[in-house]
Amino acid sequence: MTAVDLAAARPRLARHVRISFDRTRQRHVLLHPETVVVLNGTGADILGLCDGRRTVAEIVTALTARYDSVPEGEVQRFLTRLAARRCVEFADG
Amino acid sequence: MESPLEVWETPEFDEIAVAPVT
Repeated sequence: MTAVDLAAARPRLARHVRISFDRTRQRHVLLHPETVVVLNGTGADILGLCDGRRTVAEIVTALTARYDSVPEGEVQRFLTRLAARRCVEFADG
Repeated sequence: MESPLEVWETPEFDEIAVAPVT
């Protein structure tokens, strides 16, 4: 998937993954059958917008309302790394 | 008055292997 394709893809959490707030760590985490993925704040915000309807480009636009700058490449890399771990799936744009 | 924008941090995650605890 190229960067152009990825911008139009619609990410969502994989079916067997759920997002939760870990009160002990005070961090959002992804609960996966065999791993817990601890997220930082921007990572949690990105995944909170991954509903399978928004494209990656739309997610970046939504984040610019909250953050001073949102490098699209960083968002794409983050989602690609989670997709490699089967935590995120992409629906085609 | 608009609230100030937050400073962007590179999104990161740490993966912790656990027994299928989850």
